[in-house]
Amino acid sequence: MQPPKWMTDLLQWGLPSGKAEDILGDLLELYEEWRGERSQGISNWRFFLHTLSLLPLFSPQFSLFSRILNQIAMFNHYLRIAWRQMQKHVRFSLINIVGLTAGLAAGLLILLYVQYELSYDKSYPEHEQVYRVNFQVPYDGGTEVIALTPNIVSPLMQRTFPEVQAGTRVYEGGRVIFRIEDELIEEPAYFYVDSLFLDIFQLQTLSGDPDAALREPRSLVLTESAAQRFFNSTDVVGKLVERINSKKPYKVGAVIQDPPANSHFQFSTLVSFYTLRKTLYTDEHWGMANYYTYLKLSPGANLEAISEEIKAKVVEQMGEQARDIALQFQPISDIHLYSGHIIYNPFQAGDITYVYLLTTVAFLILLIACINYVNLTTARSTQRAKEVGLRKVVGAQQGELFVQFIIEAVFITAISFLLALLVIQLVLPAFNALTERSLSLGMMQEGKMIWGATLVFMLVAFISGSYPALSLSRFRPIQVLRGSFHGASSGGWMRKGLVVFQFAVSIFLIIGTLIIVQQLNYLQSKSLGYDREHVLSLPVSGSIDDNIQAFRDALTQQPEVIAVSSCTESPYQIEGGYSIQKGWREGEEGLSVTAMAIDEAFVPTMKLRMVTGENFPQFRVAKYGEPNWQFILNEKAVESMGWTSEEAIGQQVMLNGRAGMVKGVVNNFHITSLHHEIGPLVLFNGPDLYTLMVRLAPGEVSQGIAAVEKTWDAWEKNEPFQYHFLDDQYHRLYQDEEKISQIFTIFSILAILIACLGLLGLISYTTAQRTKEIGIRKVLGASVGQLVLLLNRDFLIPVLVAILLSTPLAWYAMNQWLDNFSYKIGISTWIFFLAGAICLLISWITVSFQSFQAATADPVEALRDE
Amino acid sequence: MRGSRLGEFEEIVLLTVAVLFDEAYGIAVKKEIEARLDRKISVGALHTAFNRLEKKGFLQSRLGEATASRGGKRKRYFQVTASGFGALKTVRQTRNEFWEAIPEIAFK
Repeated sequence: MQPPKWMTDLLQWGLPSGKAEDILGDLLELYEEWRGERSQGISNWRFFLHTLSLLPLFSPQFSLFSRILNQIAMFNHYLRIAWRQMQKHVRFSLINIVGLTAGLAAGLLILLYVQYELSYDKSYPEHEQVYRVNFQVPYDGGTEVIALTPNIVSPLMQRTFPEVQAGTRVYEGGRVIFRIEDELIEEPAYFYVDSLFLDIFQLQTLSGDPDAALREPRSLVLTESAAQRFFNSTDVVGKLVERINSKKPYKVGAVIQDPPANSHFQFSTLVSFYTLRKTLYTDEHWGMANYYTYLKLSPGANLEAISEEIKAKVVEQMGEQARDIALQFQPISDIHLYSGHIIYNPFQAGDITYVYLLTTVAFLILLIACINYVNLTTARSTQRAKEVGLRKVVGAQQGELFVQFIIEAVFITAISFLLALLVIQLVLPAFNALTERSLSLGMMQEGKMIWGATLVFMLVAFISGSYPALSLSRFRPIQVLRGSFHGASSGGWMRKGLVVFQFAVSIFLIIGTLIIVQQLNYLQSKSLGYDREHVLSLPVSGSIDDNIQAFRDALTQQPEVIAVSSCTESPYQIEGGYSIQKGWREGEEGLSVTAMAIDEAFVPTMKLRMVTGENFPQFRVAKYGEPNWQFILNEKAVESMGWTSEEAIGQQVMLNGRAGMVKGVVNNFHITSLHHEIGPLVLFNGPDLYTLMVRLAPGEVSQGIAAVEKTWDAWEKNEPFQYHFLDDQYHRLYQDEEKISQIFTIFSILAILIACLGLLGLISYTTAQRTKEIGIRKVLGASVGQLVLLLNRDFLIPVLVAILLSTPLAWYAMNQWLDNFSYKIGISTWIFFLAGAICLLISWITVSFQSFQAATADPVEALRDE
Repeated sequence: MRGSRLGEFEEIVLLTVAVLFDEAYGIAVKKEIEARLDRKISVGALHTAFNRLEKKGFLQSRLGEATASRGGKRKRYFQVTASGFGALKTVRQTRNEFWEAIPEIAFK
């Protein structure tokens, strides 16, 4: 039957020592009485109320309490005033809230996105110790870095350095087809890995023993989602799976958790490395960089020392020509954002520059929204001036007034913040679809993010609130109350300056967006040196591969099919790692090139142009060890070898042990994205023609696809029909840029809309102030057009200044961005005019909306004085 | 004389202490006032009034004996001082003079 101890303690502590005992006694007596009749809660509440009533009796040294009480009362009062102001000026409050909501929603959304981008691969335990080994090789006079390494790297590192705790090779198995319970199921993310894989990528085991599974050939480790997809169940350990084109079945050894969505490495089925051909893991050598290598080092391992030592080992094993070869260790958490320069980085990647870019955009949009608040509040300061004067007369200090107006800003910001969260919740699905990420509002609660969001909130409230609070709280009561006060005019230049800034930022973003879109269009439409429209690429294997010639003949008979060719890969993904040398003597220094095996139909099918020489006379697939290989080089390769096109024909060359003769030269054509320049390329009559290129007649594309599919089904029972359009595959190379340009477009539109919202607020305020002036002008004969012009002029001058300011800045910044591309547009002046015109037009419409209303109003209304 | 004026609530508290005579401690005074005036008063307000009245010299107080109830806390008993009674009388006299000065006709 005791009230809460903290209340009695508080009284004991606060009341003057002579009084504490009897007063507390009185209260306790009452409490006992209440407890006789009422519940504990009610008694406690009454006790609390009486305690509050005693606070004024506290000793002077505790009068802080009464001051706090007073502050709470004032705070309540400020909130009430803020609420009343909001209700009284609905229009301005709405403009403020909508602007801040849009700004905050955009800002927080970008913050979420950035947070997500930075979180890649950080959810793996001990990710700080995990590195991917990248391979630095000489290329075209310099060096290039590729993500693939030879198969020796992982075992060698593990044997040599005690700091290497675990290592795994990862070999991309490509697309495989399983037959499960008579159903064909495609597995697109199938990887061969070493048994220590799960020591490095630490994922939870759901059933089975993955370590044991990865030690045996033909044993699979499925992720949870793969198990669901294959069997509709995760309880599948021990089940047998038949793989198409493989005689023996595979056994499911374990089921593990899916890799986190924010990981660079997305796999769904793992199979032990020992399933590969035996020589691939028994013969360790430095050729054939086909494997990703991941290592886990002990904490505090000296990377530099390891790099030095392994480099010495490379030279020792491969001789002096390996001087330029090096291994680089990239932390896995860097792979997602810092792999722009790395070739064959296989997975969907982000880019740190876009993270910076978007953070900047978020900040700018927030700033624009804050400026709206500043401008509208200071513009309307005359309306609050009397209040400030009166408060000062009855004793308010400048500091207290400052606090009052800051609290108003916090109040508005808080409302906007809540609305912004709602908006984010609504747009998140669309944003996720656009960016192909899986953001959620729940991420807001995670560690740093909660501070980030709080910081954004405080920053917005403070930036918006501090200047108006400062200028309002500075009013002198005598001036204000005498009635001869026109505070608004004094801050006019400041407001105009801020409007200039807002529009400068908006125009900057618009120009940026226009240039990005233009560059992308250029990339998409640039002549690649081959014709990629209406070309299907079909991966082939199994029965079709065995009867490829007959299948091709069958295809060619279809009227919609113009030409068919076989090659190793689609032209957009031709592989590097080859080297070509003059003469047939082994060990000569070679030129690093990309190369691909093709057939005689490739050049006409892709519509390449022969510069000189012939396109594979008497074509037949060459064999290793015979000096009858035939080569077609592109112009760049010929040039790099130091020949003219004519000289090149008939030269004896060797491509990684394939001795043969140069038969022809083709025009340079783009094989990778236009980020990179055209490099030296060699085409040869090799085996392994796994891809069919089918050119369809333009205008009959859908019938063409149907015809190809029908032929396919007639020939192939084990594989589902699957095709890609070459131009789609090509577009995918620019996915990043396309996504960014879409995001950019959305946010720059948002920026200008928010800026216009502010403009709308400002003009509606000034027109309201100038109602009388407009009335008199009208009475004296001014036309509506003249009045609109008069009102608009004030607002269009800042916009014009903004255009002048932002144009050179945008020009400079966008030139920097374009430098990322080897093939780029020149920035043409019309973009700047267009951006300026868009801005002028939008702001003109915004302003006219209000000024037209003011100008057409009946002057009688304006001038009547009751 | 400025310091010795009685507020309305102070007058009531002073009167109640006088009425309760020997039993005038906080809660007793509180209950007496609540019963007679049919209004709730807070402990804080009551003790504030006690404080002021003591400062003005109208009340004096002593601590009672400790008991098992009230968490073992002693009661403080109040007593009206001579000047306290003086002040009450003055108030009453002033009131009476006012009452007598009201012309008979005003009541009709």
